[in-house]
Amino acid sequence: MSSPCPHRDQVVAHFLDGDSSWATDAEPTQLAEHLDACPECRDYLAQGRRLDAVLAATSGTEIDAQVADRILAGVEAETRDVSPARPAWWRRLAPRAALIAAGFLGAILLDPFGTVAVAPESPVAPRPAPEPVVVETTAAAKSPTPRSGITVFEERDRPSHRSRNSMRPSQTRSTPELEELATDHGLARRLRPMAALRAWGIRSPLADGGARDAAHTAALLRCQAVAELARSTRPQATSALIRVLVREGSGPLLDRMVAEARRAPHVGRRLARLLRNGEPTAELVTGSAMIGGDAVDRALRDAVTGDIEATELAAAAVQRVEDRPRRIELLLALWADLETRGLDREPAADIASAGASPAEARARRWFAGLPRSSTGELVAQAETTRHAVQRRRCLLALAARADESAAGYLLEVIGGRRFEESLLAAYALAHCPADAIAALLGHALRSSRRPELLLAALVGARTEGAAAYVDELRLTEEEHRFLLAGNFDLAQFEIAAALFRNRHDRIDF
Amino acid sequence: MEAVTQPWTSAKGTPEERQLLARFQSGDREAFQPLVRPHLGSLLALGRRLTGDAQWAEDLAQETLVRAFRGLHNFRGEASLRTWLLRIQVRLSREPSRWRRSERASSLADLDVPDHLAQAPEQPVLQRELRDRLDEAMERLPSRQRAALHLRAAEGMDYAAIGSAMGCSQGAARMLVLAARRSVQQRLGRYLAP
Repeated sequence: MSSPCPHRDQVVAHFLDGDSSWATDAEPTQLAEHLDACPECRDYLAQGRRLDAVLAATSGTEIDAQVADRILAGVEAETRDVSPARPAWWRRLAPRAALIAAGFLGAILLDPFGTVAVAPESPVAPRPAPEPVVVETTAAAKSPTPRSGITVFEERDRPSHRSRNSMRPSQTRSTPELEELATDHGLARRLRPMAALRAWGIRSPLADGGARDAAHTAALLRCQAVAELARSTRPQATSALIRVLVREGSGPLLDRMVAEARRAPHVGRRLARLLRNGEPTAELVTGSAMIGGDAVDRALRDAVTGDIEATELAAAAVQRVEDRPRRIELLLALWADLETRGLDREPAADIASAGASPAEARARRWFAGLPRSSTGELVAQAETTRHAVQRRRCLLALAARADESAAGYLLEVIGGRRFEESLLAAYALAHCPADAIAALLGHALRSSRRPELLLAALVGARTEGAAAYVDELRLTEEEHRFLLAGNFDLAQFEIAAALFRNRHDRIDF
Repeated sequence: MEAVTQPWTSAKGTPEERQLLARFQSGDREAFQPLVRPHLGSLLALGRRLTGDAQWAEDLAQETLVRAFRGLHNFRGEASLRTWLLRIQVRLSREPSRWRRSERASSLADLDVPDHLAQAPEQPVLQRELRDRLDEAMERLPSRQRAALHLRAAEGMDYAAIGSAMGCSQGAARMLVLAARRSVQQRLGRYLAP
């Protein structure tokens, strides 16, 4: 790598900064000649001009009138007791009275003016000037943190000025700080170590090739907001945290943010307390449902019970997060509450009941929208619960999910001793993709205790070859059409199963 | 090629400024605000560069003016008023305990998340990127280099005025400015290509 031109700095100092401190009179001419001959210096000078222009344009020497008023009012308040005409030596005389009495009069006479003296602007190196003297007054200090050298003043209840003892600015003055954070650099500087960015799944904005568009910057800002708010134990922080989460769309970033919030135990405790105290807001319900936790879920369930709209909010929020602990338990509990309290008797216009109760229709819609991993959770829940009603709900939920990954479990249930559960399991199988279950059910037919249910499932799913089974039944034309249509609701599925059980003559299972 | 020289405020100031200064030094405290107000923007801009925080920049500017109020009656006018104020500020910036009133807003605990931050302000992407890169490069400079380059580029001060404001020689100011430019230009690289 070649070293830079040795004249580069001189060129910039002269042509860009107007430096006129020449060693010789010929130097300016020589520099101009060099510039004409040196492309490196020309490029460097051009870059320097651009840099200065950008700095000048972005340094913001303009000031908002409100800010200026505030600062000047603060100055006025702090200098209220200071007279501009009083000589400095007079102000210093009182504290030094003891020194005079002790015979240090000579020191005062030698240095009567303890003020700033700025050297004239000349090439000669100036002597550094002393600081202005700030004299302690004897006024009663009302500052909570008195410091030496402070002129105290009477506190006023005037929010229009900034006193020395004023706390952090009001919450409405958030824009400058957040705007500062809205730069990749500002955020990256705060997200230490840089591994934290990678943990969030975000490429570092400082790395070459990293995305630096507006969406990326906004995502970093939100991540930072959540990380900061989750760490804070202030009540407002939890509310603000919920606000950020609720506004975030679904995706890995939301999952990461929710996980961050969930890790802070005080967040869960506060959410549970907020849910129990008074009427929770939609924001609180949504945020709590996303974050979850034992105490939060219990409080959430109590908070939304009796309110269909709030229940729907909670259920929708649960669906947004990929990895949400005890999601299935909560949704099943909300479903149970809808049914046991009998609130949801009349179906809403947008709920397609298809023979199911309104509560069931709602709940099945919740489960249909869950992430793929929920199928396994539902199966686990169905296997472990001791309550038949709960198992029934799990099987209906599996039907809503139409996920063939549950087929193995469903086949086991079909071969079980409880006919209603067998029926529901077969009904769930009927909703799986046809090509996924065709071979599976065809194989199971040979040894199944309940072949009619499997056939009803094959026909319900409209698998290839299922029509052959229908042709072997003694059916009316209407019944024939009915079976070939498939896509049965639960009531229709029962009919289909009954037809297969009662009307077969020659079916070779 | 002609050398580029940027005009700088006369050390003696404008007639209005001289008049206000005279009134203040005669005891008219009301003359202080109109006297210093035109320079407040410069104080804040430098303060932001020095502290990296808008709130602290206000704190620093306020304390600078308080100090100026107390010492202005002995201001002789050898340097411009702005240089004198910036000088106070540069020295004060090294002692945060004397001026820092508020905590840095690094925590968003008490702050609302405004709706507009859900989407970043609409600016040309390249402009915003250049500005961000520039801020980053300036932040990584030593504070004296940062201040010197800011005074040169944003305030248009020459080396003598910069030296006066920073309490160093003209030669030292020259070195600070050139070193700062070298660092920043090296970091910004292609962003500054003509």
